[in-house]
Amino acid sequence: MIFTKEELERYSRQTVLPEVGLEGQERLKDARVSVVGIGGLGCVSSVQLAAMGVGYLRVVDQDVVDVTNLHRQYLYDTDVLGYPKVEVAQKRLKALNPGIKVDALPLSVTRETAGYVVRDVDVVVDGLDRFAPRHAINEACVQHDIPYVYGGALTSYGNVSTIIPGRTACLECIMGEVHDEGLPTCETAGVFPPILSMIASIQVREAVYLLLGKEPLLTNRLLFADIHELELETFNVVRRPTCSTCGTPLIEAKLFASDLKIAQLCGKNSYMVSPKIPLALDLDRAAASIGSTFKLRVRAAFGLTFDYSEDVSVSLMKTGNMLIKGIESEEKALEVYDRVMKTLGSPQDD
Amino acid sequence: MVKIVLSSVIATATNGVKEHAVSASTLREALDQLFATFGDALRNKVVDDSGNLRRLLNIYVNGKNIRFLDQLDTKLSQEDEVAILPSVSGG
Repeated sequence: MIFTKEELERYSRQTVLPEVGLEGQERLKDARVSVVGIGGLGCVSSVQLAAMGVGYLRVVDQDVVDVTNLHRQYLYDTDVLGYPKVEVAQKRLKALNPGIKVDALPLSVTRETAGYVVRDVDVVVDGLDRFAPRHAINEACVQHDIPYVYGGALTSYGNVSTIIPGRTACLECIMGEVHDEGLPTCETAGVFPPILSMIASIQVREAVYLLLGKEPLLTNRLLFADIHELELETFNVVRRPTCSTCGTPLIEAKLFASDLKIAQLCGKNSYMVSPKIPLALDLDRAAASIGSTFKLRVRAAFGLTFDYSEDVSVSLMKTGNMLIKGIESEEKALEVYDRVMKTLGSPQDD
Repeated sequence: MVKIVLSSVIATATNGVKEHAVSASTLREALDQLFATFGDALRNKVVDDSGNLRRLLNIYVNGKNIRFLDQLDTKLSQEDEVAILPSVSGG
């Protein structure tokens, strides 16, 4: 038995549930979750996940506790104004459940840092308050194949959707490029605190079901909850095969030379060309396209190697990185990159 | 008929009506019919003074965000379902 007597007692009111049981509790104990943003949503979701016994939590936030947070962010009280949120959250969550591990990451979420946020976890739970960092997390989750439970809330309403890379619509498919400038915020529009608990609880429901190996309900669905009207509505959303984040890579404007990094490698006449933002290629489709034009030599889980010509060998990784051997200049390398990516084909229209 | 589904926060401008069927071949036509039925309060909620979709709203045609289709010029077929709801950024 992996549980102590104290743990059996602590979790007894949930292990009695058929959907959890001791087996489910063991899964939770082994689980690793990143809660990104420990504000109105993240305070609720992190408390629920910690209390339920998720064995490892990573709490991520760039902010310090402000007096305007206290009406809705229940991990913080008047004594900790000015303290980093992650520090207080870590301390409170550990006090709530000493049997779990809580890591604090005082970080601004950007495309450059998102990999640290999602690394080595089973699920990412969204507690962010803007779309720019959400898109960064969405991309990192797609790249690392980690489920991401999107949630947002404002005034009296909110959204939830569960994103499983490769299977469901991702945040980009659902929202597109929504820029944050000019959108209402908690500061300008306000937030009615009970909506936060409602949205965060639904997110935790989805995350915990994933951890228990059960099907989440909000895949390819966008939930809209309105606590003012007491309405819960779901809308179907579909994955875009040509999505710039989760679809087959497109040539489009996204892969001009200025979006690529190129480096000469130690080996003679070898170059590595890589997109500045890693792609998440569908290698099955890529292998089919490549195989019909070039001689495919290796079809591995993370990449393909093929003969581009008699003298030039190319290895294309899932991330869009391309190792090109047998060429003499950067210009040639970029030509090869461009031709190969075009070979991947004009994507099917949505 | 094209079915238009409104989220509750949009339906505050339609006296709570959340589904409405129209006969239209483009999204713009469908919205114009919707606005003709429910008036300027709804129009102002959905589009700005220039007639463009408000930035915080998303419209989905059969689950596809119209930002990836032809925006308000997206063509519609009978049986299509159009959903209108806000994207929620806060947290």
